[in-house]
Amino acid sequence: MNLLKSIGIGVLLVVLQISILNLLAIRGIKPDIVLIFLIIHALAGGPLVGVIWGFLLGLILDSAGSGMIGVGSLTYALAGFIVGQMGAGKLGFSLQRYLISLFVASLIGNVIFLYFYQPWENGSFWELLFFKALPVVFYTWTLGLIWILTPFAAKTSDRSAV
Amino acid sequence: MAGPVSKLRTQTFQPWIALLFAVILSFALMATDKTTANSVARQHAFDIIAFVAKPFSVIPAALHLASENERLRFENTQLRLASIAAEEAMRENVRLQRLLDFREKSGFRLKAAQVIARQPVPGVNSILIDIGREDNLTTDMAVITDHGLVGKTVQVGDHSAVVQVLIDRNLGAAVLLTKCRANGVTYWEGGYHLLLENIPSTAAVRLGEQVITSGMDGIFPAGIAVGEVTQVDKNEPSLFLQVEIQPAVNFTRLEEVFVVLDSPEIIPSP
Repeated sequence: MNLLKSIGIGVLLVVLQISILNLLAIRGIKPDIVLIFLIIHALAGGPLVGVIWGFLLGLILDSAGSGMIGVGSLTYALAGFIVGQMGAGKLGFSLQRYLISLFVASLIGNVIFLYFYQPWENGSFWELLFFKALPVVFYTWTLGLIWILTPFAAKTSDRSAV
Repeated sequence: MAGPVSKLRTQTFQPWIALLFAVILSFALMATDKTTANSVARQHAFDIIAFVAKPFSVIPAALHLASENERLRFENTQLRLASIAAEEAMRENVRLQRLLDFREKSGFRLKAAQVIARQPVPGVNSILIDIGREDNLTTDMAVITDHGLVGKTVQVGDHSAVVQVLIDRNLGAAVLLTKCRANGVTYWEGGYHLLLENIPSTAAVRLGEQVITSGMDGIFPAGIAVGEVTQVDKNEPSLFLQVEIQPAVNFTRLEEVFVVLDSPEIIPSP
């Protein structure tokens, strides 16, 4: 039941990410709510859960976009795995680990996207990192922080979804 | 003993194996990104996602409705203004073309002027034009349009001049009725029509008869259209007819006029 509920929420978040999240865009930069969802599950469930969720969510996002299929699944699977390792075993979920994981996962994900999608003639790696990737990372991180402080998030963050 | 160790090893390596699969599968998908099968599968996936996402697309549309309405209203206003401006430009073009033709055919040496102000004081009707002494204007110069006589210059500044129009109590023009050849002088008593005085009661004045300047007042060159007869009253036992004429010029719609700088000896009839 929990798994089905999580799948439903995951699909809903993907739909929201591709449909109405543009409303939150600031100068074309929008947060990644799918990543926030992935981090919560990977921290609670460990690296295996992180990889599976990451791969599937990334694949759905790839299907919805016009980019190269496989990039999203690779990125989210890697992010899910790394975050899952950070919360693996007895460590479990903590606010501190969640915030660090969110930042790290978002950064890794955006660097991978940068590598695949950003034309390098638009600037050097550092320029692209500072002006393209980091704003998304900070925006996602801020939204993730706001989310985790809400009472609703407490229900989902203290247990594994699978 | 071997059981728990083996189980632990499996649990330890499971995520790594899963990651390896995910990475290999992702690269395989990337490598086959442009293949037909992949495109077809993606098209189906996209259809499903589009179907699910469709209800949500209403939300941004609804949120943007107010700003969209405002933008459309602004655009509508802009377009309406542009349309009015274009129509006005077209009308101006036609009017100026007509004036240009008139200027070339009139035989007078004319100076074009723009009407920049009107003085709608009862009894003292005048207009202000944008040329003056610098353009060789002096007082008592005839002012006309392609339709006919407007008036004469009464005050001349360096770059502007006041023109007393025919519908003014203090201005009269010597005129000639084109059919009966009777001479008279115009005067104004209010309204938008002129009256003629000194037309003998024996003159066979007809309705619709054209009235032109006779040139006998020494101000207005002969041959300029003044108007047409709209009413003729014979008041017994007076020796003169009371003739009412409709001015050829619409004084309420003056925009461009010509000042007659000089005129040839023989002036063409309108």
